Amino acid sequence: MLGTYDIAIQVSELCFVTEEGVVVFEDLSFTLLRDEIKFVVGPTLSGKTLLLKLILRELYPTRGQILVAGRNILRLNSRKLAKLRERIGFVPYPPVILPNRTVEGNLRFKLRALGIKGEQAEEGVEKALSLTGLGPLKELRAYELGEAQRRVLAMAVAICNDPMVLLCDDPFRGLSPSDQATIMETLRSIRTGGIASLVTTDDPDLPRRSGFPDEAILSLRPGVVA
Amino acid sequence: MTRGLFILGELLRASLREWPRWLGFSVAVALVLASGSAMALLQGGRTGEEGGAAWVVVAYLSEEVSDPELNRLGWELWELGGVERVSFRFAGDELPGGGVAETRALLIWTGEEARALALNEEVLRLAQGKISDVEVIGLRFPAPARLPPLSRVISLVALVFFAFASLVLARSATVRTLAGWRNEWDLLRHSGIEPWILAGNFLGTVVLWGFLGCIFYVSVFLGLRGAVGGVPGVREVAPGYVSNGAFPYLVGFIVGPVWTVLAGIFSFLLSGSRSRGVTSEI
Repeated sequence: MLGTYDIAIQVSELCFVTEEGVVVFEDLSFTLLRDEIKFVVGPTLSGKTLLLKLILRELYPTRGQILVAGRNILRLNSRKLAKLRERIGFVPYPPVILPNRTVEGNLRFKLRALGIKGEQAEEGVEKALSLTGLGPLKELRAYELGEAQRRVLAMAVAICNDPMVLLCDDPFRGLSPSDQATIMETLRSIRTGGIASLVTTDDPDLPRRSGFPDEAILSLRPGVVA
Repeated sequence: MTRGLFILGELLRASLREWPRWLGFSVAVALVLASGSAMALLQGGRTGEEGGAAWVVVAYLSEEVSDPELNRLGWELWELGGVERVSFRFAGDELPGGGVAETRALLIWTGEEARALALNEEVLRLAQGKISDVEVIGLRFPAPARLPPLSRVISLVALVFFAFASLVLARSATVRTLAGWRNEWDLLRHSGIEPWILAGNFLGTVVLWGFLGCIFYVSVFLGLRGAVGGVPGVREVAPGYVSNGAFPYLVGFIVGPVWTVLAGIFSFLLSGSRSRGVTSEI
């Protein structure tokens, strides 16, 4: 029996129909546990990014329920949502980093902007650098990093304030197999830090090739016109 | 609070990279206030006044007139028809129109030459023995200085021009600064910081640059007033410039900031989502 504290995200009977009448999701349900990595796979326009936006409440579903840390995000007022939102790390595609700042400077920028200072900030920086393996590169400017390292840096920025869950939008796109393996290793490492991950990709075989079981894969199909 | 100050500080630092545009905006704000002040303070156009004239009958008093007698005589003269006022000069005091009173004198003021000549005789009759001599002095006052009506039109044109220029410069500086800060903006948005917090801080940046213009305006206003406020011509063409002490502060610290807030909202709304960044595709 799972308790509320074991579940990072719970999506129930989610429906989303676009203004043009395209049914993107129909009764989509899944659960992401706190120590889990789940892959959302599907072709272009299957709603992978849309799903992340719904979880971030940047868009509203037509119907259904989304619980993050046990709270129904559709019912939260903006102040409570902003508070909850700080517990969700998000890496968009393309990932956003600050190229002219150092690796560490990127993390500190976000932490200062969130009002996190002192010991808590130091811990956040240390943990993010440690989980992503960027510690030795912390003095480098972001523009000096390779493409895979930049994406890892974006993940470090997303987790430096110790969120409960990390949403990654297509972090493997356009990368070589070895770089994809780097990203996959980083996700595994982040999981050891107690952060669950929901990761989208349009390569349906990538999670299996990386040794993840079928239960870790959520397959989406392109939407159909109702 | 700390969070807001950090973001504001970062935005101000980013805005320094576009300092020529922001400084242009500050100067434009100062010029908006200056041209608006010129419109409000300059006395332009015809006044209908052709200048004025006054006639003074100077009654030189005999040595033996006592102070009570002098007082009574003054009141009697004031009650004569056409007399506007009566004043007194000691021996050695300056007389209207130049010259010096050789003895004590009563000055009887009237507005018409004919009345002054008539008063000349009435005074001699009324104050027989108390007056040693009577003199009539005619005074002409020039029409108050006025700037040509075109000056206010020019002020209005300048006000419109600089208002437009300040908006254009605010928008240009906003677009450039936001473009340079686009990664930071996106990173903060993706970190869950609400857009109104970012927009509010950006507005704060615009207001601070605009406030710099307000300080320019108040400094120049007060500096110029200190330099030329005593010049009679300045007092005539812009009496409020010299006499109204609160004016520059009201304009500089209330009207100016209000204008910069409006300019900030305008520039931010017109900057568009391209410079602010867009979220990733659905």
